[in-house]
Amino acid sequence: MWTGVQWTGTIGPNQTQRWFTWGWPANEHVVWYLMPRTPRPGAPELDWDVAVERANAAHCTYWITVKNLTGGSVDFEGRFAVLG
Amino acid sequence: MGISFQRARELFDLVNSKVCCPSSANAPCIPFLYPDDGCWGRAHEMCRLIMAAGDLPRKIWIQGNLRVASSNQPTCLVQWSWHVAPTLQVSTWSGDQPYVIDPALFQEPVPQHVWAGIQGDPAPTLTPTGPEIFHLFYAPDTYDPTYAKTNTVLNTYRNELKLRAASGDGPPPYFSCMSRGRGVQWFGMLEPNATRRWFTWGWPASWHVFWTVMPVTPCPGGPQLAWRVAAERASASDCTYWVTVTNLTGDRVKFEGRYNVLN
Repeated sequence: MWTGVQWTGTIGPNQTQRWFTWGWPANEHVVWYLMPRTPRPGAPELDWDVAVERANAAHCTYWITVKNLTGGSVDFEGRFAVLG
Repeated sequence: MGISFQRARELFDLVNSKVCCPSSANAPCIPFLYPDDGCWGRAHEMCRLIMAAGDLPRKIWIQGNLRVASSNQPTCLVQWSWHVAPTLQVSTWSGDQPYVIDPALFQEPVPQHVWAGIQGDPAPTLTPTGPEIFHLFYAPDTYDPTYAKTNTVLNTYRNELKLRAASGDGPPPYFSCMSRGRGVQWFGMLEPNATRRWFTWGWPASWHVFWTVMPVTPCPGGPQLAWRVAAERASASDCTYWVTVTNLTGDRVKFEGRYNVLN
């Protein structure tokens, strides 16, 4: 398994926004998750959903929808882990 | 002087990005997923795209008793008496070599001898031509400078692909032609905009298991599948996972249900 940060982003208060990342080998098992970089203790800051598109027989595109659960802007890292 | 393999790959990716979604197959997509027939239309359209990108393709025509394994045909086999695809001259350590651009058979440019070698005839007849030859074996269609005949051929096989995708076999690829790879628990298919739940039982509850899904039916342009996972503790030692998969598109989608054990 190996991990990485694919992108960094900022999302406004109570906003929902979608990012995509393309050209991933479809045979790799990849999971996506987020980590806020803006400390805001007391409650969850971000939620996310993942969807996937098969672009061709060899490659796929991941679509990550991020939701800011707070009333302030949140900086975050879009992280991945290649599981195998 | 030949182009680099990297440039050949870029051009391969350019034409492959036009692959048809099987169930909708809207023009101007190229029906690579219907390998049975129509190669001359696909080849002419690929040459048009490559020339529009500033490169100079040729074509290679192959004749023989051709038999190619394909997971995009319900019988897992396509048989032809001839076939055609574009070529590009690629610089290699041993000089320029023709590489074939044929997304119906390969996922990258391949040397011409590799392309010919998988087609099942040990002594095929190979005929290289310029890109302007639309049909080598039917004189009335030798040329198609306006691409009108090309569009007719592409439209015919887009429709064949749609018909097959709507049939009981569903869209390609066909599971009977595929083996489950490592970490693939099941193959599934979802109807347009459908949500369905699968379960898989008897997993050691001490294992840390992640579940993902991966479409196997190509359809570029937007997300196809989303999923949710729930878990049931069936006993002190075992659990059952419930995976709910949603088809976000108006097309049928086949997919793999995948797992990874993290510990």
